[in-house]
Amino acid sequence: MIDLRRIHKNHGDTATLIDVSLTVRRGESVALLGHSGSGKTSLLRLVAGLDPPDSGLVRTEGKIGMVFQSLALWPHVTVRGQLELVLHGPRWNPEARKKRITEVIQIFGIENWADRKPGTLSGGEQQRVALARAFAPGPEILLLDEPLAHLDADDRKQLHPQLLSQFKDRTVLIATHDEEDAKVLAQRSVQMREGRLYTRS
Amino acid sequence: MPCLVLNSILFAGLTSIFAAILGMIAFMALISFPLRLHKVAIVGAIACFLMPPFLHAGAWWDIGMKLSLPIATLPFGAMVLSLQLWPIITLLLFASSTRLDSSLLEAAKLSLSNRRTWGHVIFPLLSPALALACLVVFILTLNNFIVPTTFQTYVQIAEIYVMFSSLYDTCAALLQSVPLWIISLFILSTAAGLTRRITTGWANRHVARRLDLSMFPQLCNRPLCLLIFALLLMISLLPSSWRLISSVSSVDMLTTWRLAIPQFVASFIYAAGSALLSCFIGLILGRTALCRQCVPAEWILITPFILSGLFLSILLIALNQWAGAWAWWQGTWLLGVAALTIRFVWIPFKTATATLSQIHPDLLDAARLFAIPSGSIFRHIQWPLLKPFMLAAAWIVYLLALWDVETLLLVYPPGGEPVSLKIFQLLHYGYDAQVAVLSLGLLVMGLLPGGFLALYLRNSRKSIPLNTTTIHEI
Repeated sequence: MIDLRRIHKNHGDTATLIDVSLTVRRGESVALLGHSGSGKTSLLRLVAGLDPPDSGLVRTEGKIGMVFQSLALWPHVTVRGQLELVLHGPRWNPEARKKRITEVIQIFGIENWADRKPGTLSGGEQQRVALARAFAPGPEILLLDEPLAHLDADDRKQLHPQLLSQFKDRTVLIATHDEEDAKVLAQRSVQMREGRLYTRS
Repeated sequence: MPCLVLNSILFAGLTSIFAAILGMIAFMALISFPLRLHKVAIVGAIACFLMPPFLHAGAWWDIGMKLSLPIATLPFGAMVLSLQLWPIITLLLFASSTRLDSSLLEAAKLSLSNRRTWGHVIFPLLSPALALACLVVFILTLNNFIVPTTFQTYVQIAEIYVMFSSLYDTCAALLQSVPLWIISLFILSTAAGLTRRITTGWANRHVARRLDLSMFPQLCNRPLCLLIFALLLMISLLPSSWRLISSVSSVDMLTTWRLAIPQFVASFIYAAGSALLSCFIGLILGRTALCRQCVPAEWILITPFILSGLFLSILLIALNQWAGAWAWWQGTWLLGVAALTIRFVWIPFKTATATLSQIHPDLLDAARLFAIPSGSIFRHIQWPLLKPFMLAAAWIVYLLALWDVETLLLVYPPGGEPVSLKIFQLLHYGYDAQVAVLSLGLLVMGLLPGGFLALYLRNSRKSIPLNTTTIHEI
């Protein structure tokens, strides 16, 4: 689960998050809707533990996976290499790792590019790889920052059911400006405007 | 002393002005070339810079004598040195120009003439790079020992050497260094502001779209530009090349090389040792300084680079004398390697910090989020992106250490004399042919790792399709 209590965050003199409180229960998916600069990415980075809040409380339970808005794919590492790098630790012995990589590659339909590097892929293909990398270690919490922004309408529709099937039993927070994506992928939506969070009916 | 300081400033200033004029002409010619010729022209410019300074100075001394030119004058010496240093201006301008945002030139192209585009758009945008390149030339000239000595221009750095080597007066020598130190610190503070403004990819993260070099307006037609550039290359390269060729035929090259094997070995140990050590230390310090936002680290490390090598070696000797019996490294090769490492460590340090700060923070955040251990983050994510740049920095340190006379002059151990010093002494006694042959050996020794590096980088570019700048654009 994700529990945020009265979060404040400033970047320099500008307040990016003002008195934000939000609870996302285990197995629930919530969409953060809002325009550019409304504070969606700042909130996700805070939940991920990448930035600390200036005040307030952030509580998360479980391992976190994230798709960055910039995708953050390591440019010199192949698609398979990206997945291998994130599957580390005692849980992932060579056999389990290989099995998981094959599974994730199939789920996200990236078999054809598994041995290519991100720079040789299109924006949409890179987006799929970023999603695959986030899902690969099986995180309990998923933070998706504009997860489908680089895909065209057909690809989005094709990916929706695959994503939804992966959301099962996971706590998901999706930052998006697309209402359609929010409707399909999230059980409820909240609106972000100028750093503040508003509940949507 | 004020007269010598003035001489030093005049010599360095005049060299910088000459080099800036030649470098700007070469840049304007280079930019008009067809794209496929750019690499050839850049290699030519680098070759001018890589020519051993002893050979270059000696060749121009001969030409001056034959043509009865006023060789033993300050302007002639400055002109000769500028013929070797103009590539710094050209290459820095070129590197900076390739990082400009294409929309800036597109906008100018729609509304301005070629001349106005150069005068009101291109040069103002490139002026920080030009100023920085001039400062680099100024510092290199201020610390240059060979060329002013060859052309009998008495400068402060020579006085420091005499003061120390003849009188063994450390305090007086250090005192003589103070004016050069003040000048260098002044330059350092100016350069710090310029490096922030320079429009290279390292500094400018927000380039929207890279420039197509053919978009640069041509001030004159292409054949004329080719001719100008070729002429400049000829003037800069031919005298030393001709001297090389004529010397090779007049002395037994292999025998001269065989006799100088201990000196070549010493040169290699100093150059390779300091290149490896400075890269290792520079990388560690660079990572630490970047993590802790430690700005003074750069100031501390750049100081030995801009100060004279002679000054640094006198300081090291004074430190050894103070340490007495504890200074077990005294009289070993280690002192020379340490002196060169301290002097040049800023280059790999700057390379490491600049490259690391260019890596998009999300790439590292993603790795941390997936709990990849910090060792693996460095090995699998940071190092592959750093490697080509650090290797290039190592090569630059290797070359600088190979040519270095000033730093090693006072600290090399008995039997550890490098080729550059041997050449300096031979030049002093007029053994021109031997000087040329040894210079050729040193040139080959310097270029070989560069060749390997170029091959390696070519292969690694195939495997890493994105350079560090485009990492930001993912």
